[in-house]
Amino acid sequence: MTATVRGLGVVDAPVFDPDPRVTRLPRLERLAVGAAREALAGRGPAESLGLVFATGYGGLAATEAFLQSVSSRGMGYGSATAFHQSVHHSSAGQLSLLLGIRGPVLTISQRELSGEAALRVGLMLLERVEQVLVVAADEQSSALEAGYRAFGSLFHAAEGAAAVLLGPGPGPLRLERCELFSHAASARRFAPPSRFGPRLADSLGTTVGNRVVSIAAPTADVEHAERKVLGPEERVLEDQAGAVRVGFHPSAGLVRFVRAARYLLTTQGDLACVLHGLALGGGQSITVLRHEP
Amino acid sequence: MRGVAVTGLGIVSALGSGVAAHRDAMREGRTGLRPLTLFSPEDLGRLPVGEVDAGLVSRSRGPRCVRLALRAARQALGGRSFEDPGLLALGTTTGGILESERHFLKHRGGVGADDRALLLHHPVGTLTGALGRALGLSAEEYTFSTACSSSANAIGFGAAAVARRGGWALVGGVDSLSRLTYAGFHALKLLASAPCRPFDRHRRGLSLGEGAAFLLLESEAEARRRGAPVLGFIDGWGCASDAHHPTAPHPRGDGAVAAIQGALADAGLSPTQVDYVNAHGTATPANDVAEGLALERVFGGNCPLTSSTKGLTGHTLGAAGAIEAVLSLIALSSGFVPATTGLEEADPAIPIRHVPPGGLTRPLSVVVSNSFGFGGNNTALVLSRAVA
Repeated sequence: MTATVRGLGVVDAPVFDPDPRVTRLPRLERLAVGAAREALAGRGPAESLGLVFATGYGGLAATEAFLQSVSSRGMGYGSATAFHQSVHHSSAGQLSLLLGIRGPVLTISQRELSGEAALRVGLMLLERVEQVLVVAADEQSSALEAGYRAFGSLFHAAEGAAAVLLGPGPGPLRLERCELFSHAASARRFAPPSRFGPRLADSLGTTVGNRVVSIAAPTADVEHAERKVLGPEERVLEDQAGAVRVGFHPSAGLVRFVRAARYLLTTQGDLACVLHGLALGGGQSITVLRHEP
Repeated sequence: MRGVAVTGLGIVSALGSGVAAHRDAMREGRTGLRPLTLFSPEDLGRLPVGEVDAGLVSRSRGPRCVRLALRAARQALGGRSFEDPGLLALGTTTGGILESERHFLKHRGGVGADDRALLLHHPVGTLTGALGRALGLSAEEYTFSTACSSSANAIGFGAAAVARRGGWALVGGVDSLSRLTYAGFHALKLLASAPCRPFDRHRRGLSLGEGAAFLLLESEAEARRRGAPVLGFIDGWGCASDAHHPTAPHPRGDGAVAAIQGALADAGLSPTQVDYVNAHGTATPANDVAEGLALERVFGGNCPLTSSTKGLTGHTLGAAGAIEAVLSLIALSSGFVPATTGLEEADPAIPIRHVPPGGLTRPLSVVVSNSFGFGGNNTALVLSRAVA
């Protein structure tokens, strides 16, 4: 399964949107809308358009607000608005409303590989609809910090959203491969290098031509292990001039995808980017994006 | 979608554990709804819910959702293991929220130095990982969270993957009762004070439930080659969005119509070939009318027999699609069409063909199972009977 990349969007903070329906939305949903609108670039929804929304934690602020009201005032005083905004699918529903998407609309939550899992689902949906918009968003909040502290105080959580419009047919930028693997690891741990290393090495062997690699690098130790697998000769995207390090959040994988796509588009010759993803709990992804001008 | 065989089923709900318990309860029209005991509802009172019997929830550590899911998934696997990697797709709305909210209520939003384990399963994707690890599966993992259609989408996605590439998929869903959903549906004024009455003129809202259900899917050719029992088929998956309102369904069921028609097209079937519709049928005023109008638009004056099983199990949210897919497969295999428990006086504004009280014994070949959710999500599955 492959697809042409027809649109890209990325935001690291909510952007101003003159639509009054958007200004009323919670932060997570405004992040998602900002990235989605950028990827669609003013185009109206295609007649046959699907949406796959990805989020690791969903509407955390709304969940927190709802529980806060229930805990302080009692079970009968929860906010109806906060409740429906706490539902993971709420952002996807708002995106379908605002963008007029009436095809399949799905929400995927796969920890720090939510965006990559959504890409894979999106590829499959292309057998049913003409285009698929994949959007990933996660918001920073005290609850997210608390959640990551529960996983061992490893991270300073960030936030952001990204969007990718996939379609069939030829094009200069192609999603060539997206694979997910699961390795045995506890909910608090990444897969050990002995497990993720062979998959990463295999992906280099099967990606022909010039290439650059984007590493997951969630921790210094994991980054060291990834670089050891790659070897000193391999070009790492995050080392290139002007490259931005994406903070740690469940949607960071799709943010890296969009940044990699934009990097490839600035290059002259054929070039592929192998994106390596890792999630707590043992998940691993390999995504290959190719630019053929 | 052709050749996707169901070779294992597992289910746990307020009706009990296992296919036999659910087949018996369905035949008897026995409801599992009773006053909530799992947590204190404070001023909301102990409304009737579909709570899983405490004896069926293992006392092992870990979130209630994982324990429910493991029970159902192990039934579906029936001790089988696979050498080749497959696919694990889980649908859930709130995942480990029961434990997260305990942490929150204990620490009032602060970060507790202890009880961090209560937060470990807040990201719903951890449930799928925990399930895969506990079952020793080597599988691509997907967690669908499309509100009350979550597990129907997990089933549809897994079936589509098996149809395309063969192999196996363990698909299903789980949700547990929680304060968040109990208080949340109250805030939306959608909770009934008495057991729910789907499609009834006097319906007053839904009754919450909890549970888990899983289906083991394999390509029919591979299943027959290794002599696995074929319990039925997943023939079609349709999914469409209303793009209408954050929580309310489209009043004429636009998205539901598209989802049902999409599932039938995927199955290569016409509406006249459907024998029974297991409706979403939540018993909220808006859902039941919209669904009825959608069925009329798809089936015209020839609406198949239709019922809702939410009066038996309660509305199990993200697990509902999987639980109702299993109940539909039980109906197909047993030739028994369940009536709508709680329905006494049919709402004349809902143009469907109700199953008579007590249910009907008759052979069934094709069933449509509907699941709709917040955000205007509409999903339909087409299931069919195994041919000997």
